[in-house]
Amino acid sequence: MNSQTIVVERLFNAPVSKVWKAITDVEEMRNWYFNLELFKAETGFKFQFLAGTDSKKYLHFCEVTEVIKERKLTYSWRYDGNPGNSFVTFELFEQGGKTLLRLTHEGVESFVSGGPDFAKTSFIGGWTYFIDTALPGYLEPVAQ
Amino acid sequence: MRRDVFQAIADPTRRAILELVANQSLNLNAVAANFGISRPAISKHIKILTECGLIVIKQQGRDRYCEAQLQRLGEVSRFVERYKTFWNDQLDALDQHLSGKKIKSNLHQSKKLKR
Repeated sequence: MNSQTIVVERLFNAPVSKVWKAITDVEEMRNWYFNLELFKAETGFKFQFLAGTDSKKYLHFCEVTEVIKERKLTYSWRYDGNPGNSFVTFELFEQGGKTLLRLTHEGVESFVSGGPDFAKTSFIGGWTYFIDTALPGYLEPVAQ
Repeated sequence: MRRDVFQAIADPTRRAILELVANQSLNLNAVAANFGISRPAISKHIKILTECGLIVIKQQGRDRYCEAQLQRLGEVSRFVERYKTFWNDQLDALDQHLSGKKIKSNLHQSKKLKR
């Protein structure tokens, strides 16, 4: 069921080096991504974080599996207590001073073996809340 | 034992069986011939798939054919779709970050957010 692979592309008005830093520097990652304790763009580096809904948090386990500086970053992504596993890949492409980021998330469907309870109440379910309610509040224009 | 679409695709052999019969109905022997496991083991997987509502068995003459009923896989698609939404949203946040806007930290951990 390879068709379930998620691919999202986005063109950023920033050079590749800046985007690479944003996805690998823990300080920057904390600003737009998850509140990681530590992150190293090194194969074999393991990290974990809690994320989820107000009522239920899921412990995420990740391990960096591939790093090509300023081009490609892959890490595994799974949940404590769920037998599934998935892989998240960030690929960067220079495009006339801008950066095309291609995000690929493979294996998400393996989490549904955790059952409908996981599927319905999983951490991702919580995103509807963030997306519909919380995030717009944060993304309101800030004076520059 | 639970019988739903999630249980159905939890097993790699069952996923392979579904892919096999998705395009054409096959009789049980034809399905089994594609796998290196015993016929009874295949039958058991097919039984689970029928109980999960993803395959129906139709008798045609002396043969029993497996026909895919994949509508229910939509449940899985919707699950996967939520991840797509999540990543789109994350990349929006990355875009904001790259434009130098301060996004409130601990966004995903905050419990103080009001609905």
